[in-house]
Amino acid sequence: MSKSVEQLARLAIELPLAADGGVSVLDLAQRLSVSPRQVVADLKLASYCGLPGGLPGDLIEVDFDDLANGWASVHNPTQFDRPLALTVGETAALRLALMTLRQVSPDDQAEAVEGLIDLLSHRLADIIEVRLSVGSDAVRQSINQAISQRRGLALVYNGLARGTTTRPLVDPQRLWVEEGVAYLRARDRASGQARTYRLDRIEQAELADSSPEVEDGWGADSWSDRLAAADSVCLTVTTAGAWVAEYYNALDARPEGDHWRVILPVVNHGWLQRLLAQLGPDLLSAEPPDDALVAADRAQAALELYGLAIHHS
Amino acid sequence: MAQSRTERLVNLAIALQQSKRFLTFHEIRQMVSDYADQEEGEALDKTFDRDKEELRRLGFDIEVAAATAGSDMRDAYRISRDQSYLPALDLTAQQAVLLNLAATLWHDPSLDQGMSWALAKLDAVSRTELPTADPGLAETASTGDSTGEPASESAPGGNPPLAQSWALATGRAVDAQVMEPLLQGLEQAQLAKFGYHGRPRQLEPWRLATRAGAWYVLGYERQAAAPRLYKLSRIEGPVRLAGPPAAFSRPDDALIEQGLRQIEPPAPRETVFVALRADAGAALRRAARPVSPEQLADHRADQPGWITPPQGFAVWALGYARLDRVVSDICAEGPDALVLEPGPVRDGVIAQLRLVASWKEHHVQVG
Repeated sequence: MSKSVEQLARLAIELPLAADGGVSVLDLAQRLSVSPRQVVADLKLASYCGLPGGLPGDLIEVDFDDLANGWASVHNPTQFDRPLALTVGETAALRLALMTLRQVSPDDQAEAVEGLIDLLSHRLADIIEVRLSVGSDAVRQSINQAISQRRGLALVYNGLARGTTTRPLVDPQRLWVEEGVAYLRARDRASGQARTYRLDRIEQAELADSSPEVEDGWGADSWSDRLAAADSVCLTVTTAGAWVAEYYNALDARPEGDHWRVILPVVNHGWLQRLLAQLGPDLLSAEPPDDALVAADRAQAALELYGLAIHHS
Repeated sequence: MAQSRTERLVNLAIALQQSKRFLTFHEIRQMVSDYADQEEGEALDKTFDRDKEELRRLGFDIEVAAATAGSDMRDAYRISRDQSYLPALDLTAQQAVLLNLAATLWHDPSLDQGMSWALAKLDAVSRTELPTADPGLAETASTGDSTGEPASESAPGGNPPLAQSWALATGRAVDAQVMEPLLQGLEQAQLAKFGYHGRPRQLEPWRLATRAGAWYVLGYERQAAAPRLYKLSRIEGPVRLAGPPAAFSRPDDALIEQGLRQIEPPAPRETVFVALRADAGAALRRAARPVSPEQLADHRADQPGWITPPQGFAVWALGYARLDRVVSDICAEGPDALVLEPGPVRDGVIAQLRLVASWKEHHVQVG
């Protein structure tokens, strides 16, 4: 969009909002993600616009006294008394946000969200489809109940980081969807530590007794905070192994001759050791090599397992 | 005084809206001083055409009455207000809260501006006031209006209100220069041109879909003359729209569903029996079913080469579509997984484990 078209698009929102008693310049600026100075400039420009003739009511009447006090108020928005219909980008944003909300909503809320989706974004109905990894309905229902009733949850969790199934008793703190995957942040009662669980790996969640009073900690770091604080590893992989870059949201990935150089964030070293063994021949180097060495030890232990196994003839 | 371009566009929009009847350019020119200041001719006609195009892109519905002998032999125009403007919106109190909740919690770098602008527009036409972002509002939303009770029991002790306990992102970030034109092409049924794996593509886009955070677009690729699926993160942007809107019609849902099935992993065709250490190998077990000792005995009767799982291991039957994938997945489990059958999987796993074990000596050097 050119600058002037963008300005017109803004005016088409600013004028109707400023028409009915007005709105603060700061509020407009925040809603439109521009500076207050820009909002003032937009409205000043609007005051020159209208029909020729110079009769009262021909031009858009911006109240300059109000404007000087940070208040946007327009007495005669002429034709701009309502905002323009939603653009496709605006409709898509609404639809995606609501569909995402719908998938983590408790039952009593889901129907109202569906009504909104239909009301506001019906025109994209068959065009956009959202499928998230949010776990089973039953698990989500329990989590929502546990959060609102402040109760604990007994989980059966298939942890991928360690590759084991655990049965922690936790107190849920936060539920969120990041990049299409729903996570639960909860305090593990046994260790007292806050942990992050992927909803689609929670096999079962049963309501337990009420949560103990805890003063701090629920606002703990999100997955992205943890990623930001994570170590990193630099892998050289073959073309066949380059999928890791996309699959794990590499910090950096670039081709180097026949190979790819990929830098991955490492939140959990068990995860990396498993990934390296999985890559096998597609991994050419790892820096630092520590986790590759642990993977080698694990492979050796696995080979001994085959040696120990009794062959039937 | 020369007008700014914005001023000219605003004046043109006002002129075209205030009249109930169609206006010829001759008439419009007298109402928009910037046009009046310019000489008539090809350059001015082009400016006028471009201005109309810009207004249309913003959402103004400009109607055209084709030239007739009665007029000055030129087309005439007006803006349909009903088609251009957002109608009044009636939301229940709960819907208003939920709309604001979705807008507050949801985040997508390529569509964030769309969201805040959408909300500002809806606020201007909503008969219900849209509450501003407030940490407490989500509690109202989650309890709903059904009970009529505020969620006050969660107030003491600092339990997080939902607005602070949720954050929503539908998918991984996509370049706005890919996302925006594709959305437009999808809605308008317009041809989209872009590069993918270094080759130019011409797609009639049918549907945008997410799977676990990744974005895909399915459509009909003209050169391949077949349905094709593209991952948005691999599209070499910007996407350009070409040709007129309504250039094609979408096929029925069944065909689209079939096309989207490519995103799903292929259906398993073979089965591997793998022994997993208790509570380990969660990634494998998700796609596997447990095998009882009786079933195991039955299998073993026909298969003399079986090995016995060690103590503390349970046997699982795991379906797979590709040998190399299942071998890699099992190797990831290290000493927590032991392949019993069939031979090719076991041999593959042992070979890869040997290679991984050799890293100890070679320190994982580029070979």
